[in-house]
Amino acid sequence: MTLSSAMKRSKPGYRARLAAMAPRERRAAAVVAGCAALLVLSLFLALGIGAVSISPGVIGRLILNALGAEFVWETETRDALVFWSIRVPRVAAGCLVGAALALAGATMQGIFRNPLADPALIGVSSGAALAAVAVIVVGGGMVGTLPPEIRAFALPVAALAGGLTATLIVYRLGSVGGQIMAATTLLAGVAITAIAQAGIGFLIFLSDEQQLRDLSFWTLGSVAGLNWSLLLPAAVLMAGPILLLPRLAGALNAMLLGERESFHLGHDPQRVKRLAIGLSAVAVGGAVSISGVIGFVGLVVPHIVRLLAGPDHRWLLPGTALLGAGLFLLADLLARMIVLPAELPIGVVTALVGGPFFIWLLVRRRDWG
Amino acid sequence: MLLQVQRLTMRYGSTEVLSDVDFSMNAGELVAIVGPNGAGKSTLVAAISGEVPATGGTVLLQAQPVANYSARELALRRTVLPQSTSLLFHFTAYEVVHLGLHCAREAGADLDAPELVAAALEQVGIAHLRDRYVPTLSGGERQRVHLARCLVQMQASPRLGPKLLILDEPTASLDPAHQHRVMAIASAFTRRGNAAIAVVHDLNLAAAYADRLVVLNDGGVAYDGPVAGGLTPALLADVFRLDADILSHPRTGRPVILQSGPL
Repeated sequence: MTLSSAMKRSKPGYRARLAAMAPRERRAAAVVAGCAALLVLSLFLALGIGAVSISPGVIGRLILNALGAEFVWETETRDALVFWSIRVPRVAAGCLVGAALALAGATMQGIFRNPLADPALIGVSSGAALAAVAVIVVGGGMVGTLPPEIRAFALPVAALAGGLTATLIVYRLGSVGGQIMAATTLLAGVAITAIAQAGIGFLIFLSDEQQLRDLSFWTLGSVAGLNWSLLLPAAVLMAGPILLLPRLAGALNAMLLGERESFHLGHDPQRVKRLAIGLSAVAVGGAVSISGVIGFVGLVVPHIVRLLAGPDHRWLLPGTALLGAGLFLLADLLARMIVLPAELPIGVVTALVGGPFFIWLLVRRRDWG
Repeated sequence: MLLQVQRLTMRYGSTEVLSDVDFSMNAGELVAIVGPNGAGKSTLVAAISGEVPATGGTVLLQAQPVANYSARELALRRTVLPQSTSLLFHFTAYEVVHLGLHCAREAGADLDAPELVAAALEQVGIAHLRDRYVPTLSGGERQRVHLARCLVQMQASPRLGPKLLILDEPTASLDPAHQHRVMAIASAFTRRGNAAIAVVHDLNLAAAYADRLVVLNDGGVAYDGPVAGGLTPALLADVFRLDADILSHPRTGRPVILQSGPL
């Protein structure tokens, strides 16, 4: 059979095509569907469980009522209040932050052809955290004089600015003559992270009791106490990249062969790198601005999906976004349930679950040879 | 004329790698580029593929400067098999070859991907490796996966004139039988109205398959013409610092280089 005869032959039937398809493609589709199912399950759990528990049936009614079906079912005012002003903002934030961090991680790993790349590695998270910590410790007096509506925005805006600044510095350090050097960029990110961490350490040394408490939010992460006005600007920042990054799937696949090879295959590697790094930075900046620094999501989630579905970004990216959102909700649920009535910072949960899991991944990988 | 290289000069910083290189090729030709290390072979390939812009002069592909084509337009007209490819992620052979279909799909071709990929894998003799992970294959097997990727890229693309297969030291990691196989596949590709340009280190391999020989030395063309006329003891001594005799192959009649040692 030659290539040209394969071109001319009429298309075989669906069954034959399925048989000829790489088995992994069918499996990958099933994995993505599974990730979506897990997200739906986590949504009901995260929306229902808490100080006031709301059953799945009530959740369904509350949603239908909001869509204009009040005349069908009665719901309690207390349920509606808890649901719309506490649960939904928190769950929406959890979904977006989880998806944004996981997707940024998968994208970075593709761009840098390095399975260990992570948003934290290119310095975005630390840069954002440093800016936020600086506002709390140094700018505390100054921020205190601002009207409360603006004060609420000061930290997220600072975090976003810090994240983008770190990314731009890393980007500049990593590009030589307009070409982005993957290895140099990663190392620059490590250096920026170290410098930002040193800055955070210094500011912690300077801070007083109350400031220390505020700081733990930024260094360990949390999506507690969010309201709609805090969430919306960050949500817009995260939603754009979450919708756009999966469109880079084909280009990221080719990028795994190398930048030259991706050009030979018809992609524009410089444009792909600019888009991927820029969109990831915006997503992570938006995430850190409302949730602080949360580790391991960007590293572990893409690995799980890759293990189950393979490295093809056309499946990996949507699967990663769905699983990132779902697992983040479950981690947040754990954070709120373990030490009732208090809450653990979610970063502690993701690190405690993610760290050992990552070690298990490494051991398993070694078995593959 | 499929490819015309006109007064091509390539400079990296202050180092001039190629100066005023001229040569051209037609559809149906397999041109071997030979030359000692540092002669500028890889740079010439990078300029022809459109990867690195020319410092001076032009490279015309189908009468258009390569710089005027977008990445996708170039990918529909030429393909490049690199010296080596590093792939850490666990793609299967099928998935890597499938990447070659990107530009044809973008151009709107209606493709039967599984059939095209299967046929390309069979053409390079590794149909049985379809579902194996590429990072776990031997160097020679990997190289053939990428050759299949190149073939599928050219065969699936809509025909916009003769196509160009660029091979940059394609046989570096292959055993002798597979070296011949790669060159035979390139040769068969040219007989279907296309052209191939191959950077080759093994002079006998070049002599056995090439229609024409371009000898690069010190950033310039030392010889451009038929294989038989080019491979002379004088040229081998001059360009390669090699003490060698030229015989005629008893069965094919092509030149065979018998190397005695360096000069």
